[in-house]
Amino acid sequence: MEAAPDGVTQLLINWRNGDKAALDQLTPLVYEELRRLARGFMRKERSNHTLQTSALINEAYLKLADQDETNWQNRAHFFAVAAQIMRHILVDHARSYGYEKRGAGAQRVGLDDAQVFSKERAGELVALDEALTNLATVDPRKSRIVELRFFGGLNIDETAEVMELSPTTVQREWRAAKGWLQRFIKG
Amino acid sequence: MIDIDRYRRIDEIFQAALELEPRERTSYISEACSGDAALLKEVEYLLASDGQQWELIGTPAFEMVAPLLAKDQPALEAGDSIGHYQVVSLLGAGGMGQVYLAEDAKLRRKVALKLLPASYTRDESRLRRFQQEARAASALNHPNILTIHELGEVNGEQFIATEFVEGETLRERLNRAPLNLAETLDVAVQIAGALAAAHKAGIVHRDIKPENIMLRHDGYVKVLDFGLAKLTEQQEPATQTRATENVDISSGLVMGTVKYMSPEQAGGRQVDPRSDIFSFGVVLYEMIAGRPPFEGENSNELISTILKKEPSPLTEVPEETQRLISRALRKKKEDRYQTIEELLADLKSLKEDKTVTNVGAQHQRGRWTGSAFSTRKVAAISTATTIEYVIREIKRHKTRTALGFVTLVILLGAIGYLGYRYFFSRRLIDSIAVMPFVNESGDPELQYLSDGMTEDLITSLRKIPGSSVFRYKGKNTDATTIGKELNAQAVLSGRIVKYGEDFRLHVELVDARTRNLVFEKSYNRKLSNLIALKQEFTGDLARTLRVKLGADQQKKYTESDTAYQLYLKGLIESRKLTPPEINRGIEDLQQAINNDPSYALAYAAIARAHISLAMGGEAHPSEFEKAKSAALKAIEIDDSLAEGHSALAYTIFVYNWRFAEAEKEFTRALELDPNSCDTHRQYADFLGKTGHREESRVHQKRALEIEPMEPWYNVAVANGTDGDAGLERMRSAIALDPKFYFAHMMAGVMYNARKMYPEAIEEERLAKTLSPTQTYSDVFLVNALINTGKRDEARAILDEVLTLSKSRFVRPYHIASIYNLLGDKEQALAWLEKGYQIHDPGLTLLKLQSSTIWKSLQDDPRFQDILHRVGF
Repeated sequence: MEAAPDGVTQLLINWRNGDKAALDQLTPLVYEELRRLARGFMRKERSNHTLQTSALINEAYLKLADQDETNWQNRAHFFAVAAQIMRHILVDHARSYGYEKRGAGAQRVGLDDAQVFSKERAGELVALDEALTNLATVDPRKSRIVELRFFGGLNIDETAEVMELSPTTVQREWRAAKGWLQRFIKG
Repeated sequence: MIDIDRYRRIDEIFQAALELEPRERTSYISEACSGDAALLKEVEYLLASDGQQWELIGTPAFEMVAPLLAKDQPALEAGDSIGHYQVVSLLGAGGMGQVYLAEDAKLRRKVALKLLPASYTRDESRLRRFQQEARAASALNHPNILTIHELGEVNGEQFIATEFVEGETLRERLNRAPLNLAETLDVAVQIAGALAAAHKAGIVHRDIKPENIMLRHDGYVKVLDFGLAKLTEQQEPATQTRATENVDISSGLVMGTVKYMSPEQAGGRQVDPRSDIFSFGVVLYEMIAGRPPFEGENSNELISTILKKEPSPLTEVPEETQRLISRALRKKKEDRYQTIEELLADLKSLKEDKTVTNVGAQHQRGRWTGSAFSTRKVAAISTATTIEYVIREIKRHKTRTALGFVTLVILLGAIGYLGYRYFFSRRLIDSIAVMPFVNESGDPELQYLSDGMTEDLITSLRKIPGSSVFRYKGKNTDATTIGKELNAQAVLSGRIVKYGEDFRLHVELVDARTRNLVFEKSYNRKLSNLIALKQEFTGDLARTLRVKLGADQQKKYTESDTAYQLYLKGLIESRKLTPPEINRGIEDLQQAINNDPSYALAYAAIARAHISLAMGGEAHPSEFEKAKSAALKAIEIDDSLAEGHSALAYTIFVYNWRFAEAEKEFTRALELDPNSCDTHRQYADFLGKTGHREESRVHQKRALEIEPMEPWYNVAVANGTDGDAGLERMRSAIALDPKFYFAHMMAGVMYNARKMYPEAIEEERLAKTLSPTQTYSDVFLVNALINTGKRDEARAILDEVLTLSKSRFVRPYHIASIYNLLGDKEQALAWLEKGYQIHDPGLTLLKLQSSTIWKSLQDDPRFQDILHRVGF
């Protein structure tokens, strides 16, 4: 099965059931859909309303997955894939800046067409990514929460649903995770 | 890496401490860490970071990801053909489209192929202006202007084929390594040469920036994209707010070319060749300093810097170079180099100055240290503050008398003051909120006059270029509050009082920021002198606002005062909501025409009124025939009347289903009057129903910008906004007029789309209560009912609608929709067919609703056939 909607649903189920190859098949499909959303987003008039990432991912999900068979677990996994992809894209791009570590000669760069965010921001993203990887080795749960919340744009309740935790737990872990990340970043 | 047990320990104490009140934490953690100082330190560190602002984490990641994802998406791949050009590779992409390296199959040469984004080429007249100018610039055959081979179109996609320049853009060059002074001057002379040729031919570039300048490997410089800015510019000088919106992508993202805008561009005013001189000055500054002269965290800040701040001085370059650049960067165009030739001459003499060239050549990295120029008079700093400058001058020329110094200071002070006054007088007022004129005559008959004059005045004032005129509908009377609500600088109010045969109109214009009275006048007239009064008042107002009225604003449309009065009366009635009121309006308008048979504007108003009746849903679609003939009549009398074209456009869209023709008329109407919110909304409706969702949103938003308090536009924009934000907007739209059925109905539509059926049911029921005669909301109610398993209730609604259809006209499309939602495909198709026969405007919704209401029939050939016959 390929890009057909039920294909994505099946892939999500397979992945959930431990089929690692399913993720490899899933990623390009989700990626393509994110690209489509991004195109639409960029073409939109520069609107003032805040963009809701999770609403967009949800839109992608509804489009790709077969809604009748959909259950929330599939949706959760879908969000997880999307968040990972976004993390990867952002950090990859940030690394291409050849950033210097914060403090060590980080300079403000002009806003050029080729650059999507400032060099400073790129440095911050790379540092965050490294800290998140470190955090994952000792506390994978916190790391995933941050991935979903920050990269996936999910709110507390959505994160709770995706991770099968109570919102209170997510809230607490998220708060603590931010502290840990800053600690890791600042060394 | 931290030891996992240690981590768990710290985390446990940290999280427990977080649960406590801050004042309880210290004692708790010292107890919990029981003497382990290192542990305590870790926990304290984590606690200290809690609650700290962390900007990155608060930034929506998708906003950062989106430009990355969208950025390198080529529309074409290697091997694809556009006409006789075959794509080789993608060279780059920018705001104005993607550029490919391609091969001209006919002439066997390499070309650069630029695809223009459709959103910029929709507007034919803009496209034409761009093409004219691009061709004209290319035809100059100047060695420093990029040659255009072809401006073409394939399958509706516009492209430009130009000579392929092997080299790099100035931007890439600057990123790689700075230029030295000699190189800078060499490049600058060539750019100025290109601009001089273009300016001489009457062409302003408008978008000079390092990205638009190519450096060929052999040293030739090519200026690209002449005329391209024509595709994005407004029909008229934009207001400052609009200029800002055009460029603001949202903080953190790229800001395109704002950095190189002249103050007049950033302020949304007319540009002339001197604007290019400023932008060129910015480029020169950047080539020398290695940083742009104006910077800002976001586009608003950047614009304000461009408008107000002097760039920091270029301390380490020769005086003449400094002076040249600072003269190009003057805020007031009158103070700049007046022609590019002058600037070019100065550049050339600098370039020919051997000293400069030699000294410049000594510098590898293009930075000039003070010592390198120690033998030259490295003067001070022409762009430093004036006082510093004066003092420095005094120190340098000790012979100058103290009196001379004082004179100089006074003179500078005077210039500063004039500049200040100039600055403020220029941006005095460019947006006005108009409050409804108050009828204080005690004669209810004159209500139409106060309402009609308000209406007519707003329409006329909106045609003044560069100003925004808002209609105020709220309850406040305080100018500052109203100004804030609508983001308007001034508030216009008026009162009508009657004295026997005479009446008096008293108007006031109040500055919303200062509450100062800017303008006030009483006009005492006879009712029979209404047209002259309007002319006089519009003229007075224009003088107050320092704008020139064009023929459009002075147009009278009729010479007959009687006709004008009837028109005002009819206009107000015909804009109300119920059919009897609208019909009364039509009668008055008809009388106005009887009085003046050449009154095109009255014909257009009649057309609009018939459209309202027909769209209300209770009138048979043949009502549109009346709208159409009135619109055609209006155009026949006055082809330049935007209102006529707009009414015709909408009619041939919803009733005749001739989409291409309708679009042409819409475009024409917007060309004639870019500020007509009515036209923007109708065009948005057209675009939305024909599958151009994004463009549709643009026009919805434009309508709302012009008329921020109009519930229709608020509803449309809310409906076009995704997610919770859309619902939020809808709630504010409803708050504007809680009794507006359409808002509740659309709220129901939005809830349906979000699968929030109970909420949808509630809203649709409310819509029906507020407007029991329409059947539009029934469709959405049925949809929500079925999705919550309430089939019987849904079925009951069908019965009601069918019963109703026996006593009066009901849109077949609504009946068809309800049948289909209930699963009766055969009846649905039969009713669709009935709708088709009478040109039910509902059928223009078919495509838009094909995946919702018509989902089950989507693959049915009979459904496809109807879609096709309607023209989709």
